[in-house]
Amino acid sequence: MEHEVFTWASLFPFLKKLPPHVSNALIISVILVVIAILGYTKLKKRGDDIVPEGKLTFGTFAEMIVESFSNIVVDTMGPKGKEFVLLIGTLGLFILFNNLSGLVPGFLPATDNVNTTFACSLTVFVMTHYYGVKEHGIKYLKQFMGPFWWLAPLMVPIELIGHIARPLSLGLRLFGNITGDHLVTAIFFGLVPLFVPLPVMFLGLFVAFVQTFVFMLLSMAYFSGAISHEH
Amino acid sequence: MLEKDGNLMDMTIQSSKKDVVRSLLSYSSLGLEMGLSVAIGIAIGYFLDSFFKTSPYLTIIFMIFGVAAAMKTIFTLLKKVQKDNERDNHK
Repeated sequence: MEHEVFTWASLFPFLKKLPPHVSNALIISVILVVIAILGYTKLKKRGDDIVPEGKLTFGTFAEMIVESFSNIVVDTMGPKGKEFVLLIGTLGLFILFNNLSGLVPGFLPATDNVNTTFACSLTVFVMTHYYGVKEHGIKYLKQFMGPFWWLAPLMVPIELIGHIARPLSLGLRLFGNITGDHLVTAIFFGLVPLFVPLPVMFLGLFVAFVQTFVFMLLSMAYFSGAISHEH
Repeated sequence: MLEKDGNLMDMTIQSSKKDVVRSLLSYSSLGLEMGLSVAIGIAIGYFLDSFFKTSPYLTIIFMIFGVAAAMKTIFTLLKKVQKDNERDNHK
């Protein structure tokens, strides 16, 4: 007798019909939007006070999240990175909350489906070339031709293959890590539900943070490669 | 004074540790990207072969392109590491 697996998404009538990765991504997005709006109103209410609040409140917490993300981006990409804080921070928060939602009972993480991870990595792929063309104009295409013009027929396919491999590896890595982790936890839970899955769940927590950081780090490397003036 | 020096040392150790973690994570991407480059090369060659009916020449040629792309991935990472080292030495 198979009974239906409980998910939080099945509580909402209009989310019930959607596939699980879509409904969970929607729930996580709504949570993130609520956090962003609450943090914004808290910050706006405080006005232009220079002295920060002494204790950890919701406003300071939201400020801390934004500050740490912009610090990571500016540390890695230099002063030019300020333009990319919005995009990389959004991707990072979305992926992090989705990864962590796998540890909450009743949530299937949206990142353990290839569609979600490739949506994220293809966004990075398209935006890389958008920023490259924006920075260099039509000269951006020269980067694909290699050092000499007579090497172009050899270099163009090589560069093309290298560029296609980037979003594929980004998406596959995130999908594989989160799926594997979720599967191992489920199997251990099926064997011995008490205490035994704990170390695996701790490992899952670690994997969730590391994979988010790797995704951000690699997309930052691709962006800075596209806008750099030497090659 | 002593305390100040200690703090400074702590900070440099911390930042170098952070750099090590960061570069380790970026090296870890190398393996998957190299393998996928060859796979993509073979896939493109196979598709073109079935399109132009020239089996198996284009598959072999694009596989070689894929291997070259994998080597170029290493080469770009090496150049990046060299640049980072030079920047650290100038500091």
